[in-house]
Amino acid sequence: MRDDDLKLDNCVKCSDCNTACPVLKVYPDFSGPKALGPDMERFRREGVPSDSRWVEYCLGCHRCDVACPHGVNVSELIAKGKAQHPKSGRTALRDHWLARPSTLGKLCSSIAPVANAVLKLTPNRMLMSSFGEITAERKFPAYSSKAIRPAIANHGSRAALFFPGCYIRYNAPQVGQVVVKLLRLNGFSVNVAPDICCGMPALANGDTAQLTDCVERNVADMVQAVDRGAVIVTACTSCGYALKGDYSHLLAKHPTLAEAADRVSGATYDLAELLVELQDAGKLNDEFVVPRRRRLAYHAPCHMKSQGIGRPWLKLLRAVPGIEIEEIKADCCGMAGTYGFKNEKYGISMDIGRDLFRGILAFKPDLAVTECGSCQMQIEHGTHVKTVHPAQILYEAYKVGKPL
Amino acid sequence: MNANGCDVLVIGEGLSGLTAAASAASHGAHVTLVSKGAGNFALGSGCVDLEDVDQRTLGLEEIDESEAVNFFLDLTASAQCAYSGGIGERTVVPTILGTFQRTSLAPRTLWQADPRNYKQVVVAGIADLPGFDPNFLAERLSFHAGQLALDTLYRSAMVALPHSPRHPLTALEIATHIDRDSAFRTAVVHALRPVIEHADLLILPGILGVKSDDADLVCFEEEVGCAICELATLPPAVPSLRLLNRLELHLAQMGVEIFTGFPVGKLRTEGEQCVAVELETPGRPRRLRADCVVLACGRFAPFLEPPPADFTGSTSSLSNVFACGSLLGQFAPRQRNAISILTGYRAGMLASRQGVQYAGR
Repeated sequence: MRDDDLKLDNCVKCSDCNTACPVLKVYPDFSGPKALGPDMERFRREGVPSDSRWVEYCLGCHRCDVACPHGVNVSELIAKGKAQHPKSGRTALRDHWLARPSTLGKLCSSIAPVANAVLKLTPNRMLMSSFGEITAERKFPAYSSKAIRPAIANHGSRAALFFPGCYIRYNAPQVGQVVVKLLRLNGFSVNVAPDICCGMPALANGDTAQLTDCVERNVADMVQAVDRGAVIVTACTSCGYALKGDYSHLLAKHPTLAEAADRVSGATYDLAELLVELQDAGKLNDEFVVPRRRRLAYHAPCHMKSQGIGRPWLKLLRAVPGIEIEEIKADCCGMAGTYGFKNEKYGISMDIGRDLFRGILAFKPDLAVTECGSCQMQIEHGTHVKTVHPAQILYEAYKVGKPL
Repeated sequence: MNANGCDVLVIGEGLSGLTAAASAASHGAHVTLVSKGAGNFALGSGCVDLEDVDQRTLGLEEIDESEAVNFFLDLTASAQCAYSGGIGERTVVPTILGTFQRTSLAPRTLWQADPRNYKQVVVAGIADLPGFDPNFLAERLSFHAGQLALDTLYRSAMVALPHSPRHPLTALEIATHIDRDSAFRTAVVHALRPVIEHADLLILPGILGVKSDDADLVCFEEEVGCAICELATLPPAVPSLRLLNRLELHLAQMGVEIFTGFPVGKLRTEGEQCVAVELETPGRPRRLRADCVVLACGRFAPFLEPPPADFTGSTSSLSNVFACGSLLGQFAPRQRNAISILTGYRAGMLASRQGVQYAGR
C-alpha cells in the first residue's frame, strides 16, 4: 500500500453503505459505494487500471459514511476516485465551471439583470444543454447584486463571522440578511466572511486543486476571527459540513495551516445548531408575535444529517406558536448541488427525489422548508410547492420580522 | 458543546439495544438511541433460540423469562414485523445452506416453513441473482428432511424477473424495486405463480421489500397463492434489514429519539455516575446528557478501553450504567439473540426505574 490511510481495512463488506445509497436505489447499473469506495481503492492505490466511470455518478451525499458501522471513509475514497477519473471535452469544461460557483457568482451578480435575462432564454438553455451538457429542464437560479450587510456590535455581544456560501451570497442574499438579523436578535455582532467558496462543489466535481485552494484561503482568513473568539456561522448545510470537515490531508504541506483548520472546524456552527444551544440554555430570544398559522413540510438535507446535530430546526420552529412542522422522511432529494444540473444525471436526480416529492405533496403543506439551497430548488422543481429557508420562518415570527 | 437531556440513553442498535430502548420507553422513560450503524442483527436470519440459555450465569434470576419474551413478541407485532413462537415452543426452519436450524422464535414467514407442515415445497431461484442456488437448496433440504424422518419433498424452480442485462441482480435491488414500483411487484407475482403448481410452501431468497410490513407480506402471499418463506442471503439480508426498519419506525413512534451515524467517543463521568455521552461528530464532539446509560454496543467498543471494572449481573462500576447483549460475556453464537432480548429487556427496565425525570416534559 502506498497510502497510510488504512480505514478501508475496516470494511467487512456488510453492504450497509449500499442500503443507504440514493443513487443505487434508482439506478442499479451504478456500482454502489462499497465497490467504488473501499473495493476499488485497492486498485487505485496500486495503480491497477479499473473502470472508474461510475465514480462520476456519486452524489457526494455522505450517507454511506453515516451508514457504515465500521467507520470507513467511503465517500472520501470515492472522491479520490473522482479526482483521478479522466474527463474530456464538454464535460470537463462544464465541471470546471460548476466547481467554481464563486467565480460564476461574482461574474453573474455584477451584471445580474442581464445574466438573469440570458439564463432564462429558451434558446440559451438549449445551447447550454447541447454545448454545455447542462440540462434545459431546470431553471438556473437568479443572481442578485445585493450585498449582505454586517450588523454593528452592541456592547457585550458575542462575535459571529457569518459564512453565507455562494448560493446565499449570490442567489439568495435576502436569506443571508435574515440570518444576520436573527443572530443580531440573539445577541451577536455579525461580520460577513469574504467571498471564497467552501470547496464542496470542487470536491463533488473531482477538482482537488480548486478544493485545496478554497480550504487554504478560508482557513487563513477565518482563523483570525476564531482566534479573537468569534464563532463561524453557516446557514447552508453543505458549506457547514465542508468547514467542519477534516482536511488535514489537503494541508499536509502547511502544518500550521492544518492546525488552524482544526480550530476553524471546531468553531463552526450551523445557525440552528447555535440557536438551539441558546434555546436549551433558556437564552433564546422568544419575543414572538401573535402566530401566523403555518403548516410546514420539513426536509432534512443530507449534509445536515452528516454533521450529527440532530434536527435543530424542528426544535426551534416547534417553539414558535402557530407553526405546525413535520419532517417528511424520504431520504435524499436527489439534487446534490450541481449534480441535478448535469444532462446525463437529471433523470437520476428526479427519480431519487420522487419519494420526497410524493411525501411533501401528500402532507399538503402551506410551504416546504429546508436549509439547503439546492434541496430548495429541487423541491420547488419537483412539487411546485414554495420552499424557503427555515430561518425565514423564524425571523417572520419575531416582532420586527416582516412576512415572507 | 450541545446540551441535550434524556432519561435513558442506549448505545447500540443491535437486537439488545433495540429491545432495551423499547423496554425503557414502554416503562415511561424518555429514551435516546445512539449508534454508529446497524448492528449484526441486520445481517442474520433473526432466529432466537431460547434453549440452553442459563439465566443464572447472567445473573438473570430476577427476570421472568416469559415477561421478556412476551414483551419482544408484542413489540414485533406492534411494529408490524411479528415474530412467531414463544417460551416452550420449538421448531425447525430452513437455512440458506440447505440445513434445518432449531429455533424458539422467528419472523412469521420463516417460522411457518417448519418441514413437518408440508408435503411439497418449491424453492424458487431468480435468474441472474447469485448466491441463492435453488437446485442445491432443494437437494440438501430434501436430504435433511429425510434425516428428520420426514418425507417433505423439495423441488427447485427458476424464475426470470425484468432487469437490466448489464449486471447481475442483487437482493437489495429487487427489494428496493418492489418497494418503489407496483408494476414491478406485479411482475414478480406473475413470475412466481406458475412455479407453485401443487406446492403449499414457496421458499425464496429474501427479496420482498425492505420497507414492507406484515400486511404487505400477507397480501403478497395471497396474490401468489401460497405461503412464502424468505431466506437470508448474503449481506445486506433483506428480511433482517426490513425488521430493523420496522423496529426503528416503531421506536420513533414510541417517542424514542434515534441518533445513528456517529460513534461514541467518551463517557463523561462524575464520581460513580455517567453524566453524559460524547459522540464524535464533525467539528467537535456532541454531548448528550442522560440520567442512565445502557451499553448495548458489543465487545469491541473503543470508548470502553479500558473496560469498566465489571459487568456482574447488569450494572458496571458506574451506578447508572447498565449493560446488555454480548458485552456481558462470551456466548455461543446460537444463544446470542436470546441473550440480547433477555438482557436488553432487563437493562431497559432497570434504567427506566432510575431515570424518569425527562419523561412527560
